[in-house]
Amino acid sequence: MWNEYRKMAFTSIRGAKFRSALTMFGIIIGVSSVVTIVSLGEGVKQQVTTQAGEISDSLVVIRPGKEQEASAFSLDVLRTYVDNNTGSLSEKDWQDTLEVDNVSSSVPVGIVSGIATFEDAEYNGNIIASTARLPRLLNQNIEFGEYFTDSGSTKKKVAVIGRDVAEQLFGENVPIGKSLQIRGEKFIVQGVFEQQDSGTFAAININNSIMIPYESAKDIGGNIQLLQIYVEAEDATQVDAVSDDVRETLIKNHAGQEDFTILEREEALEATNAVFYQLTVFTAGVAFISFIVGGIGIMNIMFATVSERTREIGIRKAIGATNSQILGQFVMESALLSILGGFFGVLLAFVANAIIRVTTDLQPVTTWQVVAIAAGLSVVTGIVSGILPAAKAAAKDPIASLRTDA
Amino acid sequence: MAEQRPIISIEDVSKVYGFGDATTVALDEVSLDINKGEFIAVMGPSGSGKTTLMNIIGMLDRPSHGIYKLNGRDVSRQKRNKQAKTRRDNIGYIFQSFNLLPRLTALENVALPLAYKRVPQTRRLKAAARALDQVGLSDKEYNLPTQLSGGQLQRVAIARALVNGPSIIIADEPTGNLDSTSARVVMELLSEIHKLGNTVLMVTHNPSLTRYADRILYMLDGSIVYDEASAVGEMPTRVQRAVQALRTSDDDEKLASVSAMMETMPEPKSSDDEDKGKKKKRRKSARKKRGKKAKK
Repeated sequence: MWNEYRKMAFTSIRGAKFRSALTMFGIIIGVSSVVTIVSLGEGVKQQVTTQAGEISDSLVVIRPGKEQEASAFSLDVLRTYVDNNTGSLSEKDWQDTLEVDNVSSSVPVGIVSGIATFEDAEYNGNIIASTARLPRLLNQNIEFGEYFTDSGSTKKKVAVIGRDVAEQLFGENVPIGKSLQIRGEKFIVQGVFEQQDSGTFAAININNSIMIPYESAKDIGGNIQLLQIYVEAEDATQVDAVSDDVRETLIKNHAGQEDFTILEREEALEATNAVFYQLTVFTAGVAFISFIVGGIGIMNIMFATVSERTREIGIRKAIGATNSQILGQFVMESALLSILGGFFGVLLAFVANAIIRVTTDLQPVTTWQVVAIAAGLSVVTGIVSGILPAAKAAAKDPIASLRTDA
Repeated sequence: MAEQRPIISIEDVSKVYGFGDATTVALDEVSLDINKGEFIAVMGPSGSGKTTLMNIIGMLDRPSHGIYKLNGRDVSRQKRNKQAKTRRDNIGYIFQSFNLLPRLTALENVALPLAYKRVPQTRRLKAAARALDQVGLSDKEYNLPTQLSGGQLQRVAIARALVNGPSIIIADEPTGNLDSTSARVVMELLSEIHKLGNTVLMVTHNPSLTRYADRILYMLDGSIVYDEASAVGEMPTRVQRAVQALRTSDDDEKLASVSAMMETMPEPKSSDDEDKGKKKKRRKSARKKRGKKAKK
């Protein structure tokens, strides 16, 4: 019988396409926004946790400014952040961390102001001043050529570039030996990084970065903003002690103020999870409201449909439909409206995700759980909002119904 | 025929609308036995309770009092869903205004009662095609109601009434919206259905149609005032007289002819004055109803 209801429902939905589309709209918007937001969150979460997982247990990260909630979404977030806290980390801070007990290495990540040019082409990427140890810390491999070393080549004007830089600035995959210009100085390309698939914990997108030795960056003048300092403990058990010592040292440097943030891997993960928990709660709220609104829309239209089709109901009853069969037909119709809305909503979400993927650095990940929950919610919404109108239809008096003009 | 158990048996059935002073008696303790295979024409002025009686027999409505036995079983107190099933299996409805679903094709319309009976789709469409063939419309299976003429619509409706193989066909003024040619086709069909052994109840305003029936009921003010058997193909003498008196084909005058016929009939015997007073009241309410219908 449910098969029959489905066919009847399809017939009447087809009979009023425009109205049905409008009715579905609420659910479409609800489902698509929920799926998109959750996918976005899931994507960022995966990027962050993968990166955090890759970073070794013995690492301590220092960032400028006192963060309320440690977050690691994207470079853009961090950049605005840095702009507001310019210069809170200095080169001296970096040098001093090297002196702290049990520290095996300390690596600065500085943003160099300027634009890289090659012949007439310009590239507006990140120019990053750092030291030889950085690729190891980030687990980033070099695909062609090699990274610069600390000894000997520190003052050399060399650069290691990301894949995007190679392709867009030089128009080829392996521009080794060619030179680009930063602030009027020539830097010879010495290596090309492997393609990096997702954003990093360090909030650096390697693909559009140009890495130059820290000392060389100082030579060409301009402002080096320290985005972060990676301090590596000799082994993982000493990480807490190292982070305490580093904090003490830096507070001393900063005249007693703690205008920086020290993150350990665990803390970073916790912070990230807290942010995502909030995001999830927020999304659930949005979902709840949109499904209620969508459900009310469906209920409204179903009530209108039932009054409009009073005569049809009378006819159906006269030829043998039971009250429960009338109920079933209208509940099915409402459920189907909602399910179709959910289906189109998921489609819309996939389109939106594709657009986000192409136009931004974010990589939304749509899990089947999200789709299943959205689908389930639309079914429930449809049934719940269809029950009252359907009961009204089922309770109609056949004689009075047959007499109406509708 | 007299020995067999009646297919429809109504005992003292009343239908009352409203309460207190506003009470309207649509049916007043009507008792009626109908045997299998009868073709009954029900006549009477508007508001006389014909349609109410049909609705009760067709189980679209419940009597306020009294017992309705279908095939010997009391169905007037059945639960609504059960009633719907009894209706579906035993009764085929034909309406004055056809009442086909506009979005379904002729074939789908005819197959609909079987859908409610959970007959699988292929079997149901085959049965519907057979029924359409029976009414001579096998070439219109895929037409929507809007693409059919009035006569064709009513034939589709007849096919729909037949598809379930019901024993009782209720036709409420089946030719009321049809021209005389279509009306004749429809009546011939009903007549054929009758010959196949089905019981047919037909409400009509047109006295000439009573020649298809083998029993004629006249109703007035919620009571059956006359119950006459007549040979098929003949109009009862009383009806004939009325028709001859007003030899027209105009609808309003047809109604007038019915009234003329009624006038010639003896008042049902009333035992005392009080009863007469009641009758007057009823007539008043009947007139009121008539006025309402005219407004519509």
